[in-house]
Amino acid sequence: MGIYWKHIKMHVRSALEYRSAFYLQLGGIVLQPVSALIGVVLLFGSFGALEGWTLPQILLCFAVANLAFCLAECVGWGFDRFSRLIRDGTFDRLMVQPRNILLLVLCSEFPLERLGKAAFASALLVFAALRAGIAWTAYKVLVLCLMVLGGTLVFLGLYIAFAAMCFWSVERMEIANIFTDGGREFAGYPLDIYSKFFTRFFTYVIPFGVMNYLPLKALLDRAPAWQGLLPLYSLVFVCACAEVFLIGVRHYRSAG
Amino acid sequence: MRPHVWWAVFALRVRSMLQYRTAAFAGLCTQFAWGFMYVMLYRAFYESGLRQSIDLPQLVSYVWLQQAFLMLTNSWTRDNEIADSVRSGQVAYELCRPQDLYFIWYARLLAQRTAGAALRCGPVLLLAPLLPAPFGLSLPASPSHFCLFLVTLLLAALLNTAIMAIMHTLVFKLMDIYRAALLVSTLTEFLSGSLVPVPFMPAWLQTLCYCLPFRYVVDLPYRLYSGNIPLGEGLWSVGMQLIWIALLVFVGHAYMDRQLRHVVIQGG
Repeated sequence: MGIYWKHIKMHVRSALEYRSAFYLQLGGIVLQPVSALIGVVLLFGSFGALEGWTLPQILLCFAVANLAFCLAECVGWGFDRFSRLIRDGTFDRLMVQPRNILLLVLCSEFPLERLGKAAFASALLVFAALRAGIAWTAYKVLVLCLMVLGGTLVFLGLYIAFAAMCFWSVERMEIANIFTDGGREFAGYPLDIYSKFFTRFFTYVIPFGVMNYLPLKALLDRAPAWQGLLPLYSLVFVCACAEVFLIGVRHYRSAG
Repeated sequence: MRPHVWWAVFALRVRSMLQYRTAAFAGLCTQFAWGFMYVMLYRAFYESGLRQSIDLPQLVSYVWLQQAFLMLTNSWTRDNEIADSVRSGQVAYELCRPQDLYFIWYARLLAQRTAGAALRCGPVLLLAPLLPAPFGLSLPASPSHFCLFLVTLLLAALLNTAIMAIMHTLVFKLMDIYRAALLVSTLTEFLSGSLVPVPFMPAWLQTLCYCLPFRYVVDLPYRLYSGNIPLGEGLWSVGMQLIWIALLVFVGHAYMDRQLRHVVIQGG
């Protein structure tokens, strides 16, 4: 863990070297979730209702999905850009270092400007949480934190699993975006508005459901309180993804 | 610029794009997945919300057409080679040639989009109409709507390329296509109706969209297809498209000239 923080500090300092470029990028990058948010608000404003969910409740889903996505993006950027690590030989260099390979890839990059999106999503999260009509208790605050954490792990797991594809095909497939970007976009709404098949797929196969939809029902007292602990399931998911990655590492033959 | 040079740049680019068939296949899966999810999302809204000025089958057609011609009308596809050529100084060689750089870039960008769309639109257009009731792509409202749709789609591609050419020219100032794209693409995407279809916007925002060129790229052709925009308004809009293309090509060209006057090529 100490090593990870050291690397993060290094990346932060190097990003702040070019300060004006950094702020420009920060401003530009926040535009994206802002326009997505305006999209949700406009759609809801135009239709006035969505299967019994109120706007703050939907925004809470949206904020959790976006915050989790941004955090996973910051932490897992090295996995998102993994094909480059393989092609330019950086991965070979990492392999000879006497540390856990997963940790080293996690340390390899940290796009600081993307935290701007995370800051925006956090602000939205607090705003929506206060208006969603939830009777807050200490347990429910804990559940909310678990939701963000669990979501981050689900997205991180996806990044790791799709990075593993590079061991076999060199290029990361665009298909991965269906699950990462698509997951952020569509898990931004409560999952039960989609057809049964999709809801089940995104609950059991790729557990987006455990990060916002299922625990949110517990927060709103529409489901038993234990359901708020479901985000912990993401630990199982991320471990499975890491295992796939490690199988890939064993198959890996350097290109150079 | 002489037309045959223009055509050569165009043909070269199309041929090199056609090499990437796996990428096209992956893109296709992505387009189907996104199309499906959007249709499901809108269906949920239609089932529980107020009546809209655009009905569900029309909107579903909008979604599938948008996915089918994504490469033609999206605002995110960019040409990284152009951006790199400015950064690395390669662009100096292009400037030595007796051709207008703006139109070389314009041809490249247009070709990239046309080739991509040609590869990807077929399967969506073939399969989407076969899907069961709420998910399928409907037939066009009438043959004349269809003809006008094709005309506006073609002009939309030209207009979109003119917008993207200006975005790529910003690289001379920002040195980085990524930053230029964040700003321009996000705004274009929103105001064109790619993110939220224009009929769902509040009145003042719709008025704003109608005053700007972006909606003529996405909103106009795809709503015209299903008859959500009547023929008369469609015809009148073709004129608007032509005016915007002329204006933005002129502005883009002038802007590039200005940038080139200040450009300093380093090295011998």
